[in-house]
Amino acid sequence: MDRGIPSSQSQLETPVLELQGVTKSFGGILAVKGLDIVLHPAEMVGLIGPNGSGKTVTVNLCTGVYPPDSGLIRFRGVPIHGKPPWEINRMGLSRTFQTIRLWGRMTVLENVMVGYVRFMGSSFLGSVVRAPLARREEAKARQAALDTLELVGMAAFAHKPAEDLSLGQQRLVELARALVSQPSCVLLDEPAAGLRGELVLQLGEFLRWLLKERGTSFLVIEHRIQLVMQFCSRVIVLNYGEKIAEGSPEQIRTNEAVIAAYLGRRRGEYGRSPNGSVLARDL
Amino acid sequence: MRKLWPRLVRVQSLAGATFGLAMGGVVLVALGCLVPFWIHVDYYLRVLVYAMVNSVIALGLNFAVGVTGQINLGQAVFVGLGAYGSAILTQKLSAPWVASVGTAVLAAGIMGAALGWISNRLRGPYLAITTLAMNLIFYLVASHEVWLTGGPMGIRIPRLNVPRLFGVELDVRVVYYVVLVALVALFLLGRLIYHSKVGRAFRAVRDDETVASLMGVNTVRTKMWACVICSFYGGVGGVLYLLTFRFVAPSEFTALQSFRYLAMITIGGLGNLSGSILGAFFVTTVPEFLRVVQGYWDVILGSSILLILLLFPKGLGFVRDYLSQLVRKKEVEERWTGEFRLPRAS
Repeated sequence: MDRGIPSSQSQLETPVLELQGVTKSFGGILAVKGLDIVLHPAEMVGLIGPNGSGKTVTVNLCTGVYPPDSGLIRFRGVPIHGKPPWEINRMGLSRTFQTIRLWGRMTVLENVMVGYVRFMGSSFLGSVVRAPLARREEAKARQAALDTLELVGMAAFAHKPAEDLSLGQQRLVELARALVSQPSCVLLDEPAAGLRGELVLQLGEFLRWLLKERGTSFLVIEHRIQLVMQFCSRVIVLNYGEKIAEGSPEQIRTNEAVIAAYLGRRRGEYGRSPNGSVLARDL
Repeated sequence: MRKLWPRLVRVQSLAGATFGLAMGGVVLVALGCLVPFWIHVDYYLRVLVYAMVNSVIALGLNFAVGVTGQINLGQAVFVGLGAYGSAILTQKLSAPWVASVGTAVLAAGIMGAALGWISNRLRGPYLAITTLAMNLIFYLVASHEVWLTGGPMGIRIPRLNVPRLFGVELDVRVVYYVVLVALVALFLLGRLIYHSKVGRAFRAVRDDETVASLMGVNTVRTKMWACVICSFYGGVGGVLYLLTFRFVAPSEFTALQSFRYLAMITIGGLGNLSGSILGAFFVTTVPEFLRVVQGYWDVILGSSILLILLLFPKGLGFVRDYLSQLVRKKEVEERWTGEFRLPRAS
């Protein structure tokens, strides 16, 4: 199966995203413990694990929602821990959200255009009085937003308020908002939740197309194990904030620690989780 | 003349208005120009001017509260800075009028930047209480520093010292047109801001600040600008207030007045610019109509505000939204197939 550039080749380049010994705790609870993750250019990596294993915290740490307690986070070789979120985004690291978070009272087009702000350097006054530079930028942002909406099949809804869309549609708009500025790395937090069955496969194909055409890297958190197993070249498994396994989908499928983490839950040791049992069945 | 029309159309599209709405606005302004010809009682005209001054102030407040979501219970401070600033500079320091107005608005703007700095450190109720405290401090200073502000008696500007406009004495009829022009200009400026990159950032911060920052919006700078715009409009409103009444006193800039401005934008609809003007006219003119019922007008005004918000939770601005829907061309809605559309070339 085609999984993008082979990892041996991409390892020669600077990693797009690199976490070294990242630790974060919330009021005495260790959410992420000594985490090491490396993401190479044009690579799609799956990040899985039972509920509460620290997947979303990892994404929040990378995008600057809160700083790590200790450890290093580098984006294309530049340390980014402690930087404000907008600076990290403007370097080319974008993301989506587990629970959809569009700006509800703005139109779909406006939502996506805000995502383009990375390339809009015009001053406050310039953009208010529509100076020539600002007008050019505005036109570019508009075109980029419409093009991206066309890619995800949502261009027909460009002028609707975002809150009027269905959840699945909002999911796609959020994806467009993350992709409009052509970031070099996108962290996707459950991109397929709320999408119909066929659309999940299409989403996988779409991400793979982006990876090939634009060299975008993806870190995908997903409970629909099909997407991870079929499209990711590498899978990282978290449990209680620690990496318990890393390897190709085949290796993960047969990894004892992973099976124990998921099946242990099934026996009722930590409470039953529907997501956990789905994975266990698929494994 | 041939070149003028495309330019006008361009201004209209830049301000994000449909053709029909723009025409409606032009008709409204034209009607507004005619009003002084059929209202002969200066008092009524003054009420209308006051409503327009309040519209300017409410527009600014709406940018902070309705568009960007930063609560501000101290808008009267900026109005007071504008009014007191120009009064003190012209009367006590006999500065030229234009320079004093510039300085007064600048002072309000700087105070707004301070508010922006605060709003980047405090949120929600904490920000609300801080702005309220700011208003209380301003009232105390204005009523106790007699050497500067004239104390509770305020500052009155004698007729002689009022600036002349093109050699015409500024009586209420002339002031009416000055304020009307200012209101139209500031409303258009507001629409330009609303539909620009900055306006989108404002609304993104209002709807979800965390996500805005994660998508590349510099939220610190954005909130700063929102507060500066709010105070700028407030300062200009203060200058216009002084021009209208030629009198300032601390009692006009109390926290209660700030709440009135808040009532205006809430009735008009938070985040709705044309609604702010409707709300300002409602809150300013209705008490004047209700003077006949003496002590009961508070009750009637209060309950009518409640009624409006119960019937139209999005405020009086719904009128404009409704009209814009009427004049908008019907869009043919494409059925959503729910498909990614990758370019064939790959």
